[in-house]
Amino acid sequence: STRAQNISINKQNTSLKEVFQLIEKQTSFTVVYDSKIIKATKPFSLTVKDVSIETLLNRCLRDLDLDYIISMNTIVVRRKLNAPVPIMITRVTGKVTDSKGSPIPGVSIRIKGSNKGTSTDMDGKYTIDAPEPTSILVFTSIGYNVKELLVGSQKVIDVILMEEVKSLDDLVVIGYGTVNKKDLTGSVSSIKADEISKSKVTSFQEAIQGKMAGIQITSSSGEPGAAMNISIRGANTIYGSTSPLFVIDGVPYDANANEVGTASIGNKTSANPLSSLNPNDIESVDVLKDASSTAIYGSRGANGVVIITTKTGKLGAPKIDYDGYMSFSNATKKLGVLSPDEYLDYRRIVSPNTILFYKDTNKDGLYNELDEPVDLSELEKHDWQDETLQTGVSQNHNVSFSVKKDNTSYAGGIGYLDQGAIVRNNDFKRYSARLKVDQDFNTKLKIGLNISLSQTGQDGASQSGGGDGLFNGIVQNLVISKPIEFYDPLWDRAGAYISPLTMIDDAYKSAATVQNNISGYLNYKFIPGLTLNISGGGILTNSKTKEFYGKKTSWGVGDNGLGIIQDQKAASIFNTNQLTYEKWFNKNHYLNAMIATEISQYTYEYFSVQKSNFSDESTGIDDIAKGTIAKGSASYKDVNRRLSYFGRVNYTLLTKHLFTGTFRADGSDKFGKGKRFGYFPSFAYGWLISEEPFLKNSKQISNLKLRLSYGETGNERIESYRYLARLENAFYNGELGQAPASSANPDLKWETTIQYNAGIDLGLFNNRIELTLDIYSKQTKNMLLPVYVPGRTGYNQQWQNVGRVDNKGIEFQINTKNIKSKDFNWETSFNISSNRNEVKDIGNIGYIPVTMGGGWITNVGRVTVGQPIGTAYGYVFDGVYQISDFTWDNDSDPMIPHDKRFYVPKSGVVQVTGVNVRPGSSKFKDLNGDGIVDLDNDRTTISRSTPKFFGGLNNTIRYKNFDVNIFLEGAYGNQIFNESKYRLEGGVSSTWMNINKDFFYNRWTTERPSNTYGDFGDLNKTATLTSSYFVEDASYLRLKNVSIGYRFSDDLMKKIGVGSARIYVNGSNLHTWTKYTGYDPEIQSENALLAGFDRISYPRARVYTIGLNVGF
Amino acid sequence: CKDYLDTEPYSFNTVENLYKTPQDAEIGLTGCYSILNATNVQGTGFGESFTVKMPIMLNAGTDELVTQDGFTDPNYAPFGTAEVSSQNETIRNNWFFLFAGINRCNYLLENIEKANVPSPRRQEIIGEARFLRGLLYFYLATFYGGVPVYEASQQDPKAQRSKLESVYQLILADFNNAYQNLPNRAGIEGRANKWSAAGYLAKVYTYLGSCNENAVGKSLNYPLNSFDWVNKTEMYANAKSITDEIIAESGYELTKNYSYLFRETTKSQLAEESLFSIQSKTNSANGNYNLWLFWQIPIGSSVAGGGYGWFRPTGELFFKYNNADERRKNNLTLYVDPQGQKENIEGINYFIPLPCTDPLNGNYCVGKFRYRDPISKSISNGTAWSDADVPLLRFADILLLNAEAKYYTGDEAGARSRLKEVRYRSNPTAIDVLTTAYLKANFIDELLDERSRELCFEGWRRIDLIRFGKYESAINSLTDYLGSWNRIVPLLKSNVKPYKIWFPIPKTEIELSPIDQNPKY
Repeated sequence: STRAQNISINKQNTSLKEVFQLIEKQTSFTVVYDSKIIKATKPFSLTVKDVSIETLLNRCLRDLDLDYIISMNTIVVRRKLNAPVPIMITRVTGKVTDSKGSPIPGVSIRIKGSNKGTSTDMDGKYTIDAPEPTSILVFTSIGYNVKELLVGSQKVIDVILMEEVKSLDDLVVIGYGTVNKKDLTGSVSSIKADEISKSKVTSFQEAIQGKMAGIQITSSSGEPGAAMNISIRGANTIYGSTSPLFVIDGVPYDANANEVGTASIGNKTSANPLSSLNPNDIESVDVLKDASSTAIYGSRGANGVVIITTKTGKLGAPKIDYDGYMSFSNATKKLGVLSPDEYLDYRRIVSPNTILFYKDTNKDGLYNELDEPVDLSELEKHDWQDETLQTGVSQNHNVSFSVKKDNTSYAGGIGYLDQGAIVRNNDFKRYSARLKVDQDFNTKLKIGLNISLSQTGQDGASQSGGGDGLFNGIVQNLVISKPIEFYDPLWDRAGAYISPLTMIDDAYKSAATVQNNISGYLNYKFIPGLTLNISGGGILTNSKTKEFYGKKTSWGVGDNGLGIIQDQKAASIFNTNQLTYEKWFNKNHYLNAMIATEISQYTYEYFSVQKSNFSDESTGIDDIAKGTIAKGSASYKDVNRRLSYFGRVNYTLLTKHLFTGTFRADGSDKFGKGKRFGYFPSFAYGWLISEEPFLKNSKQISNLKLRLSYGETGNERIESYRYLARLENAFYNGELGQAPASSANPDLKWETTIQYNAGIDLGLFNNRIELTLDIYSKQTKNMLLPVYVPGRTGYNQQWQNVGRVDNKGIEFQINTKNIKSKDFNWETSFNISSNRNEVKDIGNIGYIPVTMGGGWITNVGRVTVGQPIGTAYGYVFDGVYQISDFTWDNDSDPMIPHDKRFYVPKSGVVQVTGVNVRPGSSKFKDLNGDGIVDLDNDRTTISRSTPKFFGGLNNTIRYKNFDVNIFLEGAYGNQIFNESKYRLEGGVSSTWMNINKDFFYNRWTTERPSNTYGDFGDLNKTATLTSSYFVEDASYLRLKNVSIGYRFSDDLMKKIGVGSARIYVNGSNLHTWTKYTGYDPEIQSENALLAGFDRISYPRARVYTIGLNVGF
Repeated sequence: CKDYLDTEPYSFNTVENLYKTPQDAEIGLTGCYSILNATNVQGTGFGESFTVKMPIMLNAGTDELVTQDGFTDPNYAPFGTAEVSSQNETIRNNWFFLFAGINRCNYLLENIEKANVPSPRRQEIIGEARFLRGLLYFYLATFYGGVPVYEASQQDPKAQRSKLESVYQLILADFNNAYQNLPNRAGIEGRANKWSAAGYLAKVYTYLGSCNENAVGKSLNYPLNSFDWVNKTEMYANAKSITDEIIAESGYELTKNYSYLFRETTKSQLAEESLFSIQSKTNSANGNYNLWLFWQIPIGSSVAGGGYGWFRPTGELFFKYNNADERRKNNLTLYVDPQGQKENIEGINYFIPLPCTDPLNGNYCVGKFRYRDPISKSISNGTAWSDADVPLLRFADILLLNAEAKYYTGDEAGARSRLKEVRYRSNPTAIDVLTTAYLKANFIDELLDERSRELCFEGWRRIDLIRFGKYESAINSLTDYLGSWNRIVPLLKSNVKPYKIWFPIPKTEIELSPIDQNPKY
């Protein structure tokens, strides 16, 4: 960074030489020049006061054939490049070594400002022709700091390159600016490109999962393109979105899952709107966690901010890289359901006298021994999981380039991904392209343009299950469908036998999304230190979903074919105008101040049309005119604007006391006049203790910093215009009516989150060991909640600012360089975080019910004061009723068969309100001890969706040309309400469903009275009540990634004209240690108020990848 | 930049902008009607109107209908086993739905002047809105007893419950206004007319008369819900004169085919007999529909128009019918089979459920209402939802109310001949057999049985049992063995208590703004 060092001169009849001496006197700059070129200049007079070096030099050299460049603390005055120059080539030789004196091969050496260059040989030696003594040599090598040297009169220049002490000097993107990690006062986690590209994943969220303390990432299911939930330091709010703000190359973006199309009937598994980002294009991901960092984003910062920066043209020779891989994936798990023969045994036990076993030959309406039995050997038998789960084959190709030459840099690339899924007829495709151009027009003006385009397509698996929708998704079907082909006229609702295969093959879904991220900036330096930056741009998304459900699917049969088209358009556009001033007052005081204005607008539009009754299905959704019945249509538009003013001051005292203050005023049209603006201040203090004299020379402690911060951020991510008295459509008899839908609340305003953070960064032994520890406490107040109002007012809810949610937590990260030598490197990083979320207040009501529509057990959760968000609420499972708990007819006559007995509970045996319990029924704890288990008195909190701890462990090993990466990730203490257990344990008496094998062999029977499993679900009348029976521990540890790479020697590559090449193999999701019995413990239901809820979600894929990187 | 944030919504209008033109008044009125079969109101609830839940509240937990054993959904099941708690979501939402409808009517009545509607339409709109307000208050009062009386849209969140007397004053005034101002038949199909109001007046008169006669709720000692103020003589006289007038002048009649009252598509036949029906239309893509799926149609595959059978008929109801009574074949059946027989009704196919000959057959179910073959339905999710019109008040009911009024005004013979008139429509040939078989010396016993046979599952049984003081005794007379679903009867019996003639005031309502709870909840 250019530290402003101003200069004052008042001289008559002076010379350039004298001026240069004065510069050297007043500043720390050294002026280098060839005395020959200034000899001819005439004396002149000069009066300047407190001007920058640049101003001074521009003035002195204006009319001469001279110009200058500034490199480090050196000013080089030279002939203008286009001026006629006498050629004075100097041949320079030398040797490049590291700090220990070992030669470094392959160091690039370039003449600054030209494209001439060479590189060192195996002994670190080089030879280069410098065009003139003022030439500057630039030495670059990966892993070392860049070094620039003036040739001067030297003929031999030996150079020592210092190893890059990477993490400390890394720039951290902090929002509307960057800062050296050393000077950071807030809590920010960063990941760079090389780390992102290591895990061969399709979305950037997966790439950072488990790698940053305090940031919990869960995918909603294993489906390609499925939504990813990012929670930074816990959920702050109940109804507003808890997703962080994303800032992609400066464009703020609230990831809204509605922007990407999904299936419109049945279960909506939402898609990941950021799947359009190619992880290969990302230079860095910086996550702002504490309020001192996020407050600069004011109203949008409460949930944290994820800043994504794409790659920019880099110094060095122009580079072209190819990265391609092919991968093979299969399901990590198969659920144990009955085989066809076992299934027939099960049906024979449950209902022997049915159409499955007998033909009604005597036409008495009954199926029994009097009829001819069905020949069961003729039934088609299946293992649906085997037939529908497959090996998914994927390929991915990326070509990227990076050029930085003189004043121009550009970078870009194109990518292609074709991800084959593990479920038949399901894939995800992405085409992406981007170009980033930066141009310095002169020393004052710089502009840049950044364009990235992508198209993603998600096909198939239209209803994959796992969320809170209907229990008839494709994935659910392939588990629960009966393993035999048999049509049961009473229960097969489709009217014919429909197998999971026809459900897949006759259903079509395609969601194609085009996303453009376009932004530009203009950067103008008025005077050194004072810069104006104007930027603008936007993210435009257009998603179109086409669905067709044929007659042979359960979704299309009742409609004689059903076609649906949906279209979503969204645009986030913004403009920011930012003025930055930077100044060293003397070497003790450094000030960096910024003020800015910003306007932004979000537009969202939706449209859909549905038609049915297709006599001809051959053209499917591509000729919707064939559907003769218009079933539905909808459209919706919402525009939402913000207007903001903000600023930040960084002040450094004695290079060790760091102060940061920010302030932002945000106006939003989501609120009424007078309530639109929210004000968000923050303060932070950092103390670089290691800069203090008592530690400065410590051999052990290389870095020690204490960070303290406080800040306020906001959230207004609720639907627009909730402050108005709205009307809702109220149709009657096909006519449009309007009815009041809400009472106005002109006082509605921002939700505010206050956060305190304290952190310590410790670097030991020259930063071989780096530790970061943060503790934080957040309070969200004035929460935006649709508060229940007395129903007799005619209104149900009113949006109000009430309630409070607290989050407290601790985060720990350690990075170690275990072994560091020429041939062997081993680095480890480990992070662990814990967040405690607690609902403190939800207004004037006891709880908020959480229901999951579409299944059998729907009334599942509650948001309750004193509990975290995401709890299930129900009875506590307490074993199984046994025969000894009951009396029955005729004084408990043992001769009466079990299924004919009319059981009456003995006195003292707990009864369940509304249910005739029997032996084999689930028993619940009678919490209030009144002998009866009832809804009002005996339910309690029975699960928590969020983990107590989560974290990751990453090991990177480099041995000679081999590199190995092993990454483990996990969570502890979270639970899932596994609703599918009910059906998989015989909850539905029909022949439709298969059941769980383990349950079948261990269930309660009169002979084997289990106390852990009940009777078949349809005989266990209490099984359908919400209870802890369905709650499972979903803690897991996952071997998320293992990769092995080999880098071919540069010599070899050079021979075939390639810069570098590496091949690798990679395995993802190789093993998961968990007790969870569903497909995978990592799920996220659609309902944020009960994330841990599973109705058989899409299985996770284990992926094996083989790939190649080539650089030119 | 100053007005950069002064934006307006795109996809909805605001309350202040309604009621500017006569067309707005019609839109507002349609909004009032829509509460009748709203699926959700203000994004809340699931059919706590006549669409789904009110028919359950009005029919289940009686001697006709019980919860299917093992069905435990807390939003539905407790109604069929008489264990509705104040935390029940259905209760909460129903209370809110009915008041939301009242608010809509009050809002219209307040603002109608601004809309410049010419006479006589203006008076009609007022009459219709008052009819609807009266109707909603009538159901509120029968469910919950005395409730807050609102006549303005700014509904006071702290309003306390009024005595039943005040509630019924408003109900009677509303119905009378509608009765006087509405035409013989409405200009818009399916809207309330003079006779809809007259019919509900008859309902209120007989309800009040019988509640007083039978000292309903008196043992609870709860003055707010007391019927002591009712002059039963006056009520029965009023009931007689208004039903006489309906029978003589309304033009409504018993439609020829009883079954066609309950088929999805036979709307014109229903219109001959029903004084007021919940309307729904096929061609409305965003329509309001009715949902019979859960228990009102025969169980079975959805492609055959089958339903779920969450509530099941008692065996006693089966035996209330003589084997010759055609109505039983319609009302009580077994399942529908997608490969079974269909019947064609005016060009529309319906699957015929298997007939029930023995209520101990496991599939014994309510078969009264029928979905057509869904293949030809043009509504979204047509296997679940229905575009049928649902009768709330039939001419047959008017005849039976007239019989009741005649009986209490001293004309038992006339009363008995009305019962015969009702039976005759479905059973012209077997009428003598039925007259003998159904004869009971106590006319009221026979009347109640006849009401059950004719009107079962149509939303009157719970009210009828309560107003005749037979709520407990009728349930306690059920057996646990006469029908395959009677096994849940012991549970129902153990829960039935005198105070359960009123549903509880929702707990959240009391939490949000304190209000008196019904006794013993």
